[in-house]
Amino acid sequence: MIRIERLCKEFGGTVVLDDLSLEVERGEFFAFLGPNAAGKTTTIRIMTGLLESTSGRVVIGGHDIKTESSEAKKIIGYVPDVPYLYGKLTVGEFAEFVMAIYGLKLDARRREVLEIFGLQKHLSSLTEDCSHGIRQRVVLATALMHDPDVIILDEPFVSLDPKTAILVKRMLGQRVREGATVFMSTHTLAIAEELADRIAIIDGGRLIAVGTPRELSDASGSDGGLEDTFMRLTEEKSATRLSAGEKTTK
Amino acid sequence: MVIAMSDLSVLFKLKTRVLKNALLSVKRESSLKVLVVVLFASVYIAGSFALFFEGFSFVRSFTVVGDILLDKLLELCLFAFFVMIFISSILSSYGVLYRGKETDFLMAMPVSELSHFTILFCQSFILSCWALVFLGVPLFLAYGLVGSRHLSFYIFLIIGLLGMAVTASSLGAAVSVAWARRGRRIRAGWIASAALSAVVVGWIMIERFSFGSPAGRTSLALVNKLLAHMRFADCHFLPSYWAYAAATGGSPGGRLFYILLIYSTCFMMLWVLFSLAEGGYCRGLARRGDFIRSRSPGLASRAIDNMVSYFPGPFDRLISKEVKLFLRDPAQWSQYLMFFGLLFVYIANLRNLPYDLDSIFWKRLISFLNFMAMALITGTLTSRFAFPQLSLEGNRFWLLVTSPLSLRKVLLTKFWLSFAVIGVLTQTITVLSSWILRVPFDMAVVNSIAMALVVFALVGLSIGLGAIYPRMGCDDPSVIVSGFGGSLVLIISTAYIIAVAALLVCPFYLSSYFGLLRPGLLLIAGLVSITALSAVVCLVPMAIGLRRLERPGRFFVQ
Repeated sequence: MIRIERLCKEFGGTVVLDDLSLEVERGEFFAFLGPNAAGKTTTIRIMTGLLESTSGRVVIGGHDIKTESSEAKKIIGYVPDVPYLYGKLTVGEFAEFVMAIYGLKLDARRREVLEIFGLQKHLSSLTEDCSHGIRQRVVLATALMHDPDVIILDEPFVSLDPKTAILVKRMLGQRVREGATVFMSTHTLAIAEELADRIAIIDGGRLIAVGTPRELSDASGSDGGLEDTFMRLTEEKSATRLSAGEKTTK
Repeated sequence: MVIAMSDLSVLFKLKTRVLKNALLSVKRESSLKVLVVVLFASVYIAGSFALFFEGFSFVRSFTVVGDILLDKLLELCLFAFFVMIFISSILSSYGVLYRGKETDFLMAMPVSELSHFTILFCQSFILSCWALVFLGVPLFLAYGLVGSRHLSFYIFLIIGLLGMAVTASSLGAAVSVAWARRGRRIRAGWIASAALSAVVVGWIMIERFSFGSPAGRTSLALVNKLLAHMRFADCHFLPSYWAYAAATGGSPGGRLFYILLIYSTCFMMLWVLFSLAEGGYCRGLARRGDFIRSRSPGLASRAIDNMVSYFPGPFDRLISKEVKLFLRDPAQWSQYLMFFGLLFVYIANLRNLPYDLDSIFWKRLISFLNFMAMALITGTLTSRFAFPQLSLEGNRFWLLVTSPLSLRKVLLTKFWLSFAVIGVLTQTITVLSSWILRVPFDMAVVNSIAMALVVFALVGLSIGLGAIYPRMGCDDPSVIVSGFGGSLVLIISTAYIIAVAALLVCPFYLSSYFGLLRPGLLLIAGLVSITALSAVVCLVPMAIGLRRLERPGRFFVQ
C-alpha cells in the first residue's frame, strides 16, 4: 500500500534522508521511530506531497505522490505534527469543509465520528476558542471521516488526554482490521509496541532496523522491551558515528 | 489549463464563511473598542478627503495651468498606485502563497493545484490592494469634485482601476512564482540590495528634480520643470496611463478602447501567471527549504555580544536577544528600510524648499513645520515598531514568564532600547533637517530638546499600551498595530503632538501679538510644560503596563 523507494532528501547540502526504502502492506499498522532530527517528519512530509524528495519516490495505493498527487491524496488521511485549523470556522463548519474537499457530505455516519471524539458539544464553537486538546481531536476526527485507505500520523498522541488516547488507539486498531494501512511516527515506544505490526527505526536519515517488535529485539540482542531495543540500536549508531569521527580526527 | 471549479467553489465558500465569522466576532468586542476604531477610520477618511480636496483646489486655482496640473496629478497618482500594487504584490504573494500556514494544510488535501493557487492569489490580491481602496476613495472623490467630473468619470475610473490592479498584482505574483519555481527563498541580503537600489534611484530622481538657483524658482520655470519631470507617468505602454485615459478621455469610443486595452493585458497577465503556476506552484512549495544553509554566528553577532557586554546582567542578554531577533527578521527591518527610504526622500527634498531666509516669520514657520513633520514621523515610528514589541514575544513569552527574571526588567529593557534607537535616529534627522533648512541655532536647540521629550513620551506610550493591549497570538507587526491598542496609540500620539506644537508656538504668538514678556522666558515655560506633559504621556501607560505584567496569566488565553 505504501512503497518508499530509495528516498533521499537534502536541505542546502545537508543530507536529511539517505537512501530510505520501506514497504507497508494493506491492513498493516506501521510505527516509524527514531530520535529527534532522525528524518521522520521529513519522510512523512514527502509521503504526503508537502516536500519534494531530492531523489527516489513514494507510491501510495499505486499512485506516485509526485506525478499522481491528487489520486494519492484522496486515499490519505493525514494528521500533521503541528496541525492547522481555520480559527474563524466552527468545528462543524471545518468538518463540513474538509468533507466537501473530498467531495463528500457531512452525513449521519460521518457525524458519528465527531460524536465518538466527543466533539458534538463543540460543533458550534470557533476552533480558535477551543483548547489545544479539542483542536487535536478535531484534526484526528476529520482525518478519519472520509474513510481513508492510508492513515498517516505524525506524533498523534501529543497533548491527548488518556481517554482520547485510548479512543484513538481503538479507532486506529478498528480501521486496520477493516483493511486500512496506518503509518505512524511516534516517540511513545509503549504505544508503538502495543499497536504496531511492524516497526522501522531511522537515525540520521538512514533506516537502521525494520521488522516486528520480536524481530527487532532479536536483531539487537535485547531481552527487554522495545525501549531497550530502541536504545541499543540508536546507541550503536551513535557509537559507530563517534568511532568514525575519532578515526577522521586522527 | 483547467481549474477544478468544484474545488474552487468549496474554497470560495470556505473563505466567505471565514470572513462572515470574522465579522460576526466583532460583536464580542467591547462597544468602546469598536466605536474608537470606527471613529478613527471615519476621521481618517474624512480628513484625507479634506486634505486632498484642499490640495487639488489649490492646484486648480493656478490660472491657465491649473487644469493641466490637476490632470497630471491624476496620472501620477495612478502610476504610483500601479507601482505600489506591483511591489506590494511581490511581497504579499510570496508571503501568502509560500509562507502561509494554510498552504501546508491545503497541499495535503486532494485540492487541484490551480484551485489552491487561485484562492490564495485572490487573498494576496486583496492584501496588496486594500491601500488602494483606503487611500484611493477619498483621493479620487476629491479629484472628481474639484475637477467637476461627470458620473462617467467615476464609472470608467473604477473599471479601469480594477483591471490595472489585477494586472499589477498578477505581474507581482508572477515574479514570486517564477522565483519560487527555482526553489529559492527571498533572502534578507536581496531585500537589503533592493532597498539600497531604490535609495540610489530615489537620490538620482531627487537630483534631477532639483530646481537649482533661487533665480530659477519662478512659478513658470517651476511648473515647466515639474511637468517635464512628470512625463515618465505619461508612457503610453503603462496600464496606469490607460486607466487615466479611460477615465478622462473625450469620446466614448476612445475610452472603451483603453478599457479593452487594460483588460486584454490583464487577461494576458493572468494567463502568464496561471501558466507559471500550473505544475510549478506546488513544486515551488515542495522545494521550500532546499536551499537553507546552516550558518554559524557571524561577525555581526559577535559584535552585538561585545557591545552589550558593557551592560549589567540580565540586561546584556535581553538587549542582545532584541537586537539579534530584529536583525534576523527581514519582515521587521525591511519595513524600517522602507520607512527610512521615504524619510530620506523628505530630507533630500528639503533643499528644494524655497523661502525667504531673512524673514523671522518664515524661519519660525519652517522650523515649526519641520518639527511637526519630525514629531509625526516619530509617532508613526513608535506606534509601528515600539508598540508591537511585547506582542512579538508571542508564543515564546512563557519562557520569560516562567524564568526568575522580573518582567518589569523585560519591559524596561524594551523601553530603553527603543528610546535609544529611535532617539538617535530622530535626533540625527532633526539636526540634519535643521541644518539643511538653515534654522537659527537657538531654535534648532529647542527643536532638539523638544524632540527628545517627544521620543521619551511616545516610546513610553507605545511600550506601555503594548503591555496593556497585547496580541500574543500574532507574529505580524502590521496586524498587531492594526488592533485597538495600536489605534489608541495613534490617536493619543496625534493629540499629544498637536499639544506639544501648540506649546512651542504659543510663546512666539503671545510675544508677537500681545507684546507679553520676552519670548525666551515664554519658551522656557513652554518647554517646562512639554516636559510635564511628556512625563504624564510616558509614565502613566508605562506604570499601568508594568502593573499588568504582574499578572502575566492574562497573556495566555488558551
